[in-house]
This record gives sequence, structure tokens and C-alpha cells, in this order.
Amino acid sequence: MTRRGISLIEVMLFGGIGAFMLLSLGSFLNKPVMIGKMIARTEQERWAIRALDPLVADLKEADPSTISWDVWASTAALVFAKPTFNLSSQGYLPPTQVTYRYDPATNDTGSLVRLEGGTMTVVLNHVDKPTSQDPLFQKDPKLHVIMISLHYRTPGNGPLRVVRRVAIQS
Amino acid sequence: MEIVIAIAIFSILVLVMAKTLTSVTYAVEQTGNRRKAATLAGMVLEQYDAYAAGSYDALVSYDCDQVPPRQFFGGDDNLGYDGFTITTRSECAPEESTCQVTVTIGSGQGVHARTVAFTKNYDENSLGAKTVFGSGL
Repeated sequence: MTRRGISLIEVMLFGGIGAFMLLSLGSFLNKPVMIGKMIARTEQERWAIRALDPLVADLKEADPSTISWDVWASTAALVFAKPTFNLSSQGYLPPTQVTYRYDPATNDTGSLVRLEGGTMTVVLNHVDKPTSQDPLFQKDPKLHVIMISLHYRTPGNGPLRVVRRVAIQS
Repeated sequence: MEIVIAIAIFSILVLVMAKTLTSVTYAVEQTGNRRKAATLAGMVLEQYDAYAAGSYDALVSYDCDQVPPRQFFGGDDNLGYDGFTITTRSECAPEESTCQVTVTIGSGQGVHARTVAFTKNYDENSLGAKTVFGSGL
């Protein structure tokens, strides 16, 4: 006669090891979600920094004498003139005025926009409203460095701080 | 006996998966940190552009060791780079009017501490006033 079924010892062993494994697994169950969020956040940050590249390029090409180094308010626009080189005439055209400013969409968020020759371009959406403690543009009149600081927030994600610093060559 | 073997195999698989997930998490975190370090180093080198425009010979005086971004940029906060440190070294050759600035960005602590170095060369006569002996190419 052969013994059939599972003994009590085996059930206890299986139950004990199974419970231990589930407890150990608990901390790893959310890892894939966490990894996904980390990748998304890294990509968002990279995208937001790249979105500010045109602003940095404009500042590098700006006529330094047209940049005001006075104290700026939290939502004050950044205005400067940019010379344009005409390849066909091999000479500089009259400088064009370029403006970057915060364009509010709601009470809390808005966009960073660029204006040149009556054309408005959205540089970055979902930007938090600048405050006096954290203005959009800050300047260092001694070193001639402009700092762009904004809080970028896409729907469903937390705020992301994006900072660029640009040295203006005079 | 079969159950014990099955549990053992299952446990090994779970452990391998857990180890892989931990490694992937760490790799993703490090990639993010390296990108942030590159952006921070870019801002540090912009600061050095401003220093070089003002007083080229004094670049060495701006060397610093593992300072937080708040201290380096003279601001109120770390500009979103909490946990990062900045180390800079300038090596200047007065007779050549050139300077090499190395920016090392540190992140993490203990066994997870990592550094990434970036270098930029400054030449006071970079607009063509200096004769450079080329390689012949």
C-alpha cells in the first residue's frame, strides 16, 4: 500500500517558503513601474532642456549692448536685438528685436514664448507661473550671465526644475 | 520532495529577476545622473566663459573642491542639482595664453559615488592672432 497526497510537513514547508518569497518579492513588484517613471522623468528633463536651446542660441547671437542688466521683475520679458547676416548680400541686416516672455494660460501655468517680427512661437508649454522668489530670468550684471529658471510640469507628472545659464560675451 | 525542488527553482528565478531589476534601476538612475552632470558641467563652463571674458589670467583663482552648486553659483539653492558636487581645476600656460579647465561633477555617496569629468580649452588668441604650428596635414 502506497501513501498518497501531501503531508502536513510539506504543506507547512510550502506555505512557509511561499510566504517568505512573497514578502521578499513585495519590494520588487513595483520596480518595473518605478523604472518606467525614472526613464520618463529623465526623458522629460532632457526634452525640456533641449526646448530651451533656441533661447540659448539667440542669447549667444544677441547684441550685448541691447540687453538690459537692470533688476527684472518675476514675469518681466527678456528683450534683446539680434543681428542677422545675409548670405546673398554678404552683409548684416538691421537687427531684429527678439522677446522671450511668460505667457499665462491659467492662473498657475502658462508657456514660455518667443516673439520676433510679430511672430509668436511657443518654446515650452506647461510652465509654472514665475514668482518673485524664483523669476523666469535672472541676471548677474557683474559677470554678464543670464539664468533661465523654470518649473515644467506635464499632466500627470510632478514638477521638474529646468535651469540654463548663459554667459553673454561683450 | 518535488514541491521543495519546484520552490527551489522558483526561488532562483525570482532572485535572478530581482537582481536584474535592481541592476536596471541602478543603470537608469546612473544614466539620468550622467545627463544631469553634463548639463551642470555645461553651466559651470558657461560661468568660466564669463570669468575668462573678465580676467583671463585669474582663472586659476576660481578652482574649487567638491562645492555644491549653490556655493559655486552663489545662489539660494542647488538649482535642482541636490546631491551633486563641483570640482574645478584650471591649468594655464602663460606663455601660450592658453588655459585648460577641467570640471568634475560628483554624485552619490559611499560605494555609489560617481564622478564625470569635462574639459574645455581656452585660448586668449583664438581669433587668429596667434600662429599655431600645425601637424602638416
